Amino acid sequence: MWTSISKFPLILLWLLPVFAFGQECTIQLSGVVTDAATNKPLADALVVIEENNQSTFTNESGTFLLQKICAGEIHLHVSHIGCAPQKWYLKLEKDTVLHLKMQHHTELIGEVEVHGEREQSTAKSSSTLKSEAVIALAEKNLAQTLDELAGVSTISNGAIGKPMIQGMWGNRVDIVNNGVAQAGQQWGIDHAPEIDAFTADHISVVKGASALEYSGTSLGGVVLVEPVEITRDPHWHGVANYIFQTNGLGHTLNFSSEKRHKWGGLRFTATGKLIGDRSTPNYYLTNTGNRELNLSLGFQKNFGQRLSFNFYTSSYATTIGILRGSHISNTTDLDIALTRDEPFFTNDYFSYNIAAPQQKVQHYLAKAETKYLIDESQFLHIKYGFQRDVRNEFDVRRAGRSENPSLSLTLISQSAQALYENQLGKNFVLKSGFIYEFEDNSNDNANTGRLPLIPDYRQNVMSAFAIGKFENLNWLFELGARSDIKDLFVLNISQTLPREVQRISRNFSNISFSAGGQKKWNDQWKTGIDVGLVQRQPEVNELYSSGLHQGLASLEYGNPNLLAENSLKIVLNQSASFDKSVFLEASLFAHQIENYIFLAPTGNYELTISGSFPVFEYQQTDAFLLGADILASYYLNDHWKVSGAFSWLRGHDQTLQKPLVYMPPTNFFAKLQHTFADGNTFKNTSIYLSGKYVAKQWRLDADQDFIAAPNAYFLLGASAETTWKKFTFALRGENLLNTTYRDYLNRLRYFADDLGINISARVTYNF
Amino acid sequence: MKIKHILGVMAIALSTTMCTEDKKDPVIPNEEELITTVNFTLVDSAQTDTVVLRFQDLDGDGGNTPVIIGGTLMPNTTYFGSMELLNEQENPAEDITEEVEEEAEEHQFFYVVNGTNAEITYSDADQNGNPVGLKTVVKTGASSMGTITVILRHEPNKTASGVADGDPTNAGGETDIEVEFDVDIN
Repeated sequence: MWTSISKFPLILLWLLPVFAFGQECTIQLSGVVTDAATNKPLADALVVIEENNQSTFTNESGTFLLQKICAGEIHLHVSHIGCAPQKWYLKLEKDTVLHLKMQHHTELIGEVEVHGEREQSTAKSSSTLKSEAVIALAEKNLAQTLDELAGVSTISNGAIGKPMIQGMWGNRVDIVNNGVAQAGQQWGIDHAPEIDAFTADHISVVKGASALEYSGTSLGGVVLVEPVEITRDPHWHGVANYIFQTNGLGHTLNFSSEKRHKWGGLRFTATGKLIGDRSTPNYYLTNTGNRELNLSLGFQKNFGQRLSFNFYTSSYATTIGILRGSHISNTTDLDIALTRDEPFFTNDYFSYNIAAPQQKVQHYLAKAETKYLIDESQFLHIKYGFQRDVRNEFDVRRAGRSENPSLSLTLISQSAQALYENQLGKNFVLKSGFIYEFEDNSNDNANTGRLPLIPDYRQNVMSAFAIGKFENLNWLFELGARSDIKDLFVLNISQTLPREVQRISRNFSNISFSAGGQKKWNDQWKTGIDVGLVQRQPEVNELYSSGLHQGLASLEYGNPNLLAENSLKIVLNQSASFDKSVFLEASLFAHQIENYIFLAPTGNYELTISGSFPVFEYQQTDAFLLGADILASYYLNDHWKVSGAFSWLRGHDQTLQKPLVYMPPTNFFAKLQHTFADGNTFKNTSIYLSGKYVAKQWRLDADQDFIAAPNAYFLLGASAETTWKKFTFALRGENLLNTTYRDYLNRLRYFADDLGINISARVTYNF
Repeated sequence: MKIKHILGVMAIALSTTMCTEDKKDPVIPNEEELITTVNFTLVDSAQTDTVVLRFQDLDGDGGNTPVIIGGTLMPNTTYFGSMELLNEQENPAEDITEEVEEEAEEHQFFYVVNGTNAEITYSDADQNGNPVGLKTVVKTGASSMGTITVILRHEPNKTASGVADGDPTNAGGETDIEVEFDVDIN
């Protein structure tokens, strides 16, 4: 967000050489190419004018010179080993000097923190997945693309997944899509964020004071899905992707194009996915296909140099099959299902067919925002967002009722926010904002013929925040506070006869603080500390959910008496870099949560006509989490790189003296990458071999789960990628040893093995 | 100027939605698929003894606990069993038995005997010749005490091993009904 200001000088740079002249081929174009992260000059970068194929390499000091160029519009294409090739559009009228910054490929980005500061340095501990990494994994769901970041895992139900940050997920991790807080079903493992990863230029995980701008209740952190600013190039450019995956015989097609018209910039994206039944090493996972159709349209217009306007709209529609054999009616059946080698209803053939149990979700987003630069030091940003989320879930039902959803929710949300940023003095920036959010949830009970799991409700949330940032050469301090006031109005249908509607009105308020500091000792060492005091009020599902959770074989009851969660988190970051070849980052955190809300088995069984069900109720306890994430990489030379990530986490229930459930087990990821020197035909050629080891979650008492946690597993992966002209070809293999395994954080582990080998092939065409 | 416009639009959009308490009541669902009542009626071949095993949970899952009535059968007697399923939230009560009859291929009852000295066999079949279990023959033995569990599965695998003989172990499917009755033979 801090970049918003810094982008203005860049715009000015583009606007400078726009005086019209005749056709003269005497223009000289020179410049320097540097690494965006380290600012070091890049030698041997290839600079090409696409229009006439005139080219040169940069010298030892990173400079280049191209002569005898005709006036007019040119596209400058710059490539360098280890960097994503970049393209600039220029209107050449006279001799021009450029400073071009190249971004290095970095998939494990915590690395960027060490590798040099990002342009918008803040004390926040953040990690980012950049565009190449997002595209490389884009046939997966949003949570899975984040999986490679240290400290981020996926909690899932097969292909449906939510991101988990340092043990926190769901209501404790907010997702901000295109600047608007995603309003969908935050609760439950079986609701995935309704976002097309292709619309993101990069995806970041933000923790610490900066996160208060987005949410006051995210104990874990905030996931930002951010697009890049629409091009300034007056021609249509874009990218088309096709991905085929062998597991599920999946096709993913994506197209994105953008152009700067006189009347504004326009960007259009479309993504379609068709994936069939996935398979384990030994059998098909019947009814686990999914389909997606996503569209988005962005418009940007600048009025002079101070005012800009942005409009974005997107539509996301998906149909997801749920493993038929994971739909369990009662505890007797669950006991049988848990002991089977192969789930019930396993077909011996592959199919794209999706039948009940299934989910159909549509999400619509519209956003309008305007940014106004009041003067050199003040900045105003106003945003309005509208979202409509329609979720229908279908169970297997009698008498043709499988056609009718068992759960049908329509969630409408609106948000308005005003942000004001003020540069007070050379080293101090103050950012403050006011946010209003409205949410309305309605169940279509006439259509479902069932009592809803989550009641109808309306809520208003008003929030205000202020974040101050002080920065000088070696020090960085950030201090933030946020308060939210919420009123919640619930319309609950009684469990007993005669059915009646209870109208319940509730009010909540919470306040959160965060402070962070960072000290750069020298070129090698940097230390950061972050302290956050976050309060989270219970959400509607924790307070008022009620009924049978289909497929989970459990009765779930909300608890209207829940109190706010109070959490204190301390994060210590230490990073080091030596000779631009060894990078290390370690993050150690301790997280104390008073009144931690979780769904606890009550030990009681309730008798219904379809058998007995264990009763789960939202309860509170005091929880303590301790964890460490370590990231390291070593560049042996320009061609070889080794990197690794390690995560360790312990969660403890202090009241019951038991481990916390759903904590990610210790895991280790390592990668060996080789980048080839660019040839005449193939460029940006690289291969890697990766391994991921996930330990068994030992910290789990026998009475805390239906079965013991699955065993440790190791997965081998590999990838190869090259660019030929405007095409990029990539091959990626996952679970290459076809290992049979189950993952603790995947609910399907109760019923089936996890996915077997998958090879995905991608063709990307840039134009 | 632009900002003012946008703020104006925002103010209008928000003011139309601000009032929370006037939200309309949700529709109380017509739970037409609900089964509130299971009547397992047993009549002996001489038609001198009629026993009704009944399960009734009028408010469905959750809420009040269901009422379950067991029964006592005569020893060494053959009974004819018939199953009736009702939704008594409707008035008059809706007969769910018909739904099961119409989708006979997709449904099967299982009768699991525990302790009670009785043998239960199917006396009906669907279009494919597989048992459904709405009609049964119950042969009692010597005096004993125990339970009979009645299970109704939707979309079971009727051809799986043991399923046609009344063993639910390999049947799979969704359990629509699973109720246990105390049944003594005396």
